[in-house]
Order: sequence, then structure tokens, then C-alpha cells
Amino acid sequence: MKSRKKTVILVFLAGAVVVLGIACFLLLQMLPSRNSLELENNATVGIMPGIDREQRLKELQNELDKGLIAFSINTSPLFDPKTQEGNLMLENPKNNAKLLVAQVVLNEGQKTLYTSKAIQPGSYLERIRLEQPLAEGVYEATVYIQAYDEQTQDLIGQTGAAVTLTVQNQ
Amino acid sequence: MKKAVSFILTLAMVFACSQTVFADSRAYRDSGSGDIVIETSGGKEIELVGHVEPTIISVVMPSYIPFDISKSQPADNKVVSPEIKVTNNSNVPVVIYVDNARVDLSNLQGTSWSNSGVVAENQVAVGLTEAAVQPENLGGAKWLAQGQQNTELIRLVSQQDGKMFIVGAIGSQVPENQVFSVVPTLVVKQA
Repeated sequence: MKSRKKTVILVFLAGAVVVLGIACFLLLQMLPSRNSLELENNATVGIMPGIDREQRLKELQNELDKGLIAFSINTSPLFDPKTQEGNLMLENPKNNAKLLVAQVVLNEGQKTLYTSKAIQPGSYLERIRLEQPLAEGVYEATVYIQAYDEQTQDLIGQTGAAVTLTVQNQ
Repeated sequence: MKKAVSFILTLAMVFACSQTVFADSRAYRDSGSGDIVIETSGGKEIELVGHVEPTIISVVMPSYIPFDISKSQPADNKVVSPEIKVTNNSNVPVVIYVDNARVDLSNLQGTSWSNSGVVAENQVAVGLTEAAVQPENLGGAKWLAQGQQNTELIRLVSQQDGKMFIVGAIGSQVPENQVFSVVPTLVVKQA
């Protein structure tokens, strides 16, 4: 009789401990915790653009360096009045990695005298024939040089060289 | 008869050989030092034919210059600019100038361009300056004007590098977070 009573009490106590444990567990789950924050899906990993000046400078420098072009040109080409051919001597060096297109424009009146086709890196245009003839004389002109990406043929930018065209019998 | 003919021929040969000596007015004088001095007199025309080679300039220049401009830059110069390096590989000096500047402010509502660097609250001004490092102030800047111009930027002697930076000023009422473009064409000529 006594042992049976003890058993009942023990079982009751064990049951109470289990219930208490479950209750405590559930209570803790319901309370707010420091480690249960929901992460923002809309955030981008990395440094926000415009904040890191050094990084931005590197990006700008990289863009500018890609647009640098090297060229050589005759500053005073001589043209034959009959054939309108002259020695422009425009070179696109091999290390340019860009296509160059040259346009010869008269300073007075901005008339375009000649436009070349694309000059590949590692090649040069020694002589050209003016598409708009000039009479004998001396003329100030600008050779505008447009640079194109060799692969995509997208225009990168433009630079120029001032030249003096002389048209006279040689 | 034969003797007479051979004597005449001998005389003729002697005479012919001596003419060469008389025609060549050079005389040889022993200087006494062991050297033989050759003297020339009388003159002789010699044609010299020369070919004047064309002057070739070789340069490295930018064809595109990106930059940022921000009101939050603390210094007077509101631009963040890359180093614009130009190189003269020629044997003659050159000068680089701005020939033309194309400006597009269509994305900046109510904004206009300033040619002088002094900006009103709704204006932008951009220029270039020769400097070793990015300048904080705007002194010495060569301001870009819209359209055709002839603004000298930098002079380089033979085989010299030069460095420039973009500088700029922006008014307080100019809209932010927009893109505008100013495209100067740099031209090189023999100095």
C-alpha cells in the first residue's frame, strides 16, 4: 500500500517536471530574442557606390586609360594641284588596339576635305587624295581622329591634330 | 718622214698630258712637316641636292575623359578627376588646346553652363588644369566654353609627359543624381 502510494507520487512529480519543462520551452520561444532578426532581402552586398573615393578614382582612371590614343602625323602635308594627292602620313601604332578614322577639315568654313576608312592598329596612311579639291595655296586645317573599339566598333572618342596643307607643283 | 711623224706625235702627247696639269689648278706643296698640302683655287660648281623631311608629330592623348562632380566635395574644386596624361613622343615641341566643347545639360532641368568658372546657383562650370596632383582649388583652370574655341591647355617639349585634371564648380540648385556630358576635343599642333 505504502509503495504504491510512493509510486503514484513519483509519477505525478515526474509528470509535473515534464509539463513544467515544456511550458518553459514554449515560453522562451515566444519571447523576442537578439538572434531572431529577419534579414533584408533587398540589400546589396558590398560598398555603396560613391562612398569609396579611391575605388571610384580607380574606375574613372581605368575608363580614361582605355580611351587614350597614340598617333603620328605629318604637320605640313604637300598636295599636288593636279591629282590632289598628298603625304598625310598618319600612323595608327600597333599598341593602340583601336581603329582610327581620320577626317581632314578646313579651319576656314569647316569644310570636310577628306574622310578615311578605318585604319587598323599597326598600319599607316601615307598618301591621301582630297575629296574636295583645293587651288594652289597654303591652308590651315585640322585632322580629327576618331577612335573606335576594335572588337565592337563602338565610338570611344575623338582627338585632333592641326596641320598646314600646301597645294603646289612639286 | 717617219722620224718627223713620230717626233710630232711625241710632242703632241707631251702637250696633251701637260694640259691636264695646267687645267687642274691644284698645286702640291710640301709643308715641310711631311704632309702634302692640297690647295684649290679657281672654284668648281658642285650641285648639292637636299630633301627636307616632313615634320612628324607623335603623341598620346585622351579621346574621352570621364569625371564625377558633387556638391559634397569639401574643397572649392567639386570634381573627382582621373589623371589625364599626355605624351609628346616627337622631336619637336607641341601645344595641346581645346578646339571644341560639346555640352549636353538636358538631364539637368533648369541648369545652364558657365564659361568662366563663376557659377550661379543653377549653373555648372568645368575646366582643365595642368597639375601634378588633383587640385583642391580652381586657380589656373582653363574653363571650357560651349562650341568652338582655342583654349591652350599645356605645352610639351620633345619627349615630355604632361599631366592635367578636370576641375569644376556646381551651383547649389543644380539637380543631383543625374548625368550630363561635356565633350572637349583636344587638338595637338607643333609649337
